[in-house]
Amino acid sequence: MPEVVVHAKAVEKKYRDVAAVRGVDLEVFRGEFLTLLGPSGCGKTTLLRMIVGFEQPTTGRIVIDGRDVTEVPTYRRPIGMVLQNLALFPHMNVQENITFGLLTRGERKSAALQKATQMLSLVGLAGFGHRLIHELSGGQKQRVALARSIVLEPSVLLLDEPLGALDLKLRQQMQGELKRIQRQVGITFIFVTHDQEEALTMSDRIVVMNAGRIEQIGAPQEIYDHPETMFVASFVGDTNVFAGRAIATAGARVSVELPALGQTVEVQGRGITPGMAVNVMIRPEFVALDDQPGAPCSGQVTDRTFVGADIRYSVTVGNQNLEARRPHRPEDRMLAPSATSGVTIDWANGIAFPSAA
Amino acid sequence: MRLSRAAFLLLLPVLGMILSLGTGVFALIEQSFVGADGLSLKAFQAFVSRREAMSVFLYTHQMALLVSAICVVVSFPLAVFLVRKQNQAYVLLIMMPLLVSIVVRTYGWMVILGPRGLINAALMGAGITTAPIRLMFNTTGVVIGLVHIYIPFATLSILTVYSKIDRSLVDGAAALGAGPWRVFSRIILPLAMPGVIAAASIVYLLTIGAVVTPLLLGSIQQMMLGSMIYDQMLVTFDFPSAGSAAIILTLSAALAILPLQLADRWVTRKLPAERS
Amino acid sequence: MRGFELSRRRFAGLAATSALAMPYVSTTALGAASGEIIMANFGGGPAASFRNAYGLPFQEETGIKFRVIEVPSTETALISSASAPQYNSSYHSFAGAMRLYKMGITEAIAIDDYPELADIPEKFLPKIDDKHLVGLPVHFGFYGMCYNRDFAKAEELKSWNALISPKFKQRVSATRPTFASLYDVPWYSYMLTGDQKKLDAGIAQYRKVIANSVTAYTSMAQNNQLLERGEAVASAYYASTVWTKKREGINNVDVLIPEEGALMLPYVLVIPKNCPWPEAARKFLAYASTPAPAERALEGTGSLPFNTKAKVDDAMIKARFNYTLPDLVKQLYSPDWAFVEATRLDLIKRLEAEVLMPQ
Ligand SMILES: Nc1ncnc2c1ncn2[C@@H]1O[C@H](COP(=O)(O)OP(=O)(O)OP(=O)(O)O)[C@@H](O)[C@H]1O
Ligand SMILES: [Mg+2]
Repeated sequence: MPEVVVHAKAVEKKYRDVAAVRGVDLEVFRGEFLTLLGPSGCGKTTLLRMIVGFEQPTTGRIVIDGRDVTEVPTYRRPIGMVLQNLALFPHMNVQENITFGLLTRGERKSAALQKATQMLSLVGLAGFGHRLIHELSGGQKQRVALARSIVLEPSVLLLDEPLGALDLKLRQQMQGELKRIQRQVGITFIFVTHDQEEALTMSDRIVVMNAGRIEQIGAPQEIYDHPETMFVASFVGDTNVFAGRAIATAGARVSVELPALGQTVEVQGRGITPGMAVNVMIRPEFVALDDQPGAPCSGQVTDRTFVGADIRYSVTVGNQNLEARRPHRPEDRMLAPSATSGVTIDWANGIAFPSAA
Repeated sequence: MRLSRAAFLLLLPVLGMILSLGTGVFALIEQSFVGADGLSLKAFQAFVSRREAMSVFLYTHQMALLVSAICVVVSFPLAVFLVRKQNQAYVLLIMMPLLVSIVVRTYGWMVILGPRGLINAALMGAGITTAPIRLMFNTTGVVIGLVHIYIPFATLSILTVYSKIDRSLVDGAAALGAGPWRVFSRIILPLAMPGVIAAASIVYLLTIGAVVTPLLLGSIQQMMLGSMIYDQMLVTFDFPSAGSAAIILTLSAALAILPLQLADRWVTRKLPAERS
Repeated sequence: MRGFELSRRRFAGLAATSALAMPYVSTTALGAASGEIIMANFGGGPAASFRNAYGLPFQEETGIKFRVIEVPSTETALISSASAPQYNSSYHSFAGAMRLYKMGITEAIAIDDYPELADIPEKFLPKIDDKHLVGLPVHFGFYGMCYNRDFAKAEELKSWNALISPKFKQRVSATRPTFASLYDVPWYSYMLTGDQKKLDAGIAQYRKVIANSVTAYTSMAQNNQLLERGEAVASAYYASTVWTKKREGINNVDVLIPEEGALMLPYVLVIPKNCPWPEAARKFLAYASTPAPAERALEGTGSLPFNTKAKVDDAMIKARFNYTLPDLVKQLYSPDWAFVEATRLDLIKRLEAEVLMPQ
């Protein structure tokens, strides 16, 4: 049983009549890289701000290292945070930014300087101590913000979309860096993003949030392969969705009639009773296009996108649009738009969810 | 960009004003250097050798120091309050004193602070004192009057700088373990310092040049150099005395402000230069 | 070269004054035409009184248009417009007129041009020499003991020394050296020694009054308020303010002449050098020296005519000033204003040395 560092218990936050966070229960384990993922406005920042202590929960408790800190001010919590806009102190140079927390804590200046130097080389900024903040690039600022928090060795470090402002290339580079640093220092990271790819690549566990609630908590692969709600399924990764009706259930399997295709298929599904209206999701990689006849149905290619490793196709089957993806190999023949093709779907990887209405 | 001829015409009155003011100032300077027997520093020597002139001069600078210090201390929390309130109406409220003429305001103080004013009436009515305490016609009165008029200037200069401080810096510092006092002393104050310095400089210069308030709220021992120059200029037409006093006042004010300007450079040395 | 030097120096001072006096120079008739008499006078009472008692009747009689421009200080107005005179006449104290004449800003008044001067007692003529005056005397007021009747009784103020008595410690007010040099000190000097030139005595007395004062006032508006509110109960001050207040129905401030007497405050009209229309200006002064306008001016501001032919309502004077005109003339002292003016700047500095230092 891993040790719990942060425990948010039944936390709710209301701003006047807006409920930003509703009934969140969350346990964060020591040393893990946990990501809060969700669309804009779903309450990620609000949850972080309650954990760090900038906001008081309307109801519920925050426990860190086994101590209830709900009433404890931020500066007495064993916690660090890299803010969305970094909040580097513009009137201090890099070194002063990094030693600020150490000196606040009462450490000797020489010891603090030494730690700052170590920290700068850890984040790849050796020799930048005397640079002024406005003389740094975006990525360098990012590293300084990280360094000045990590140097304090907090029990947990919160990062609110720290990579949001960076361009794609730098972002990917920083993702790797961040992960490396986190492993190296072993501090628990709670990382916020609304970029699902970022979440998938970096996290030990992902918390998917929607409209103030947690939809699902799990390892990236689990979230991707076994989404528990339609929201998670469609938010994490690409999906095709078919509307249908459950005909029969057998354990974790459901037979669903799909009017759009005129077929009845067997997919995964829990908590579904026969007769129920359902949505069936199927990832594009389980939709195979081949021009040999004999496929269960055929469709017409409407669009084709070459993305290097993959080729993405849009296909119309009946009156339903489908996304398909297949790995690209040079020797393969590409399908031309408007070509007709057989469509084979691996329904065993489809999942049915009760439809909302 | 080229000015159209009409636009240039609009500038003429301004030009005229600058010219006539400039001539006046130039003339005043000339007057104080040219004595009956050619160029001389007599007017300055006369000023320096008059004990009362020097004492008025020193008193003027003491007052400037005191009033700017008080204004800064009072205006800082006021500016913070205004920024927190985010309400334009409060800013207007602070600006209100600027809308009332200086003379009317000063008479208002007489009604409040005078020996028969509200405060003394209340104190004596409540039996706290038996004789009126002196709240005006002394340094206290002048300080109260000047602080009152200059607070809007000080508050606005601090407010403009303070309101630009990124609020997230406070959160950032708290997340690094800094308590309220350390956040204030190491983050807020240093970043607001240019505003504080501007406030202090403005109030210092305004106080140095005060004419009416010291006359109306002080007695004769609270004479400040501005009032003295005003009298010499417009009542007794003693131009050499007025000119030399004005030059001494201006130079000494510049000298007094210099450390503040250096301090401003120093506190902003790490901030990006494009800051205005 | 010397002459050039001097005029250049004077120009410099004038330019400086113009710059400072800008706010009210700009409100005056810049580039005034020569088709009218433009007079500079103090805003408020004096200007209105002059318009009604002197200006309009003169305009009716001669057809020459008359206009008063109100200024805070007539001397500043003349000095700041010296390089381009726009006023044809202006109203001043004796000392002020002397200063202006010395500065070369006003022209000398030839006694022979104004036959009515024969009706003014010789000692009231501000002479330059046997044939010339610095200005034409029109009327006078006085510097009396003004007091608040709610807080002080006339019996307590029988002597000027009341102002230095412990009884009124911090309850009197006094003017500052710039005006004390004109009025208080010359008067106290004369009062104490019989000689206005023995300034030491006057200075010492003034210093004691200042020490006894709640404050040294700086404007008439301020002292009016001090007296009306009783913040100051007594003050050596212009009796005309009491007149004006009584006229407005405010009766708690009154004036009396202590047993030592009081100082007469004479006023004159002057003509600026190179004024736009000198002939009309002289005509106006001639008219102003007749009894009629002075008689009319009395009611408005309490200005008492010099012209002995003028007929005045003595009952009104008694009601407002507490004395009849002959009574007043008897008790009022008229100093040598030329001496006052000549010693004024030095006296101001001596007074400042005495009273400015913090105690
Ligand atoms: N101070 C506040 N006052 C009122 N409503 C607020 C406040 N802060 C946040 N909210 C609301 O709470 C909800 C959650 O906001 P939050 O900032 O937590 O979202 P987020 O998930 O961080 O979004 P993003 O990805 O855009 O940063 C939003 O609807 C927001 O409008
Ligand atoms: Mg956010």
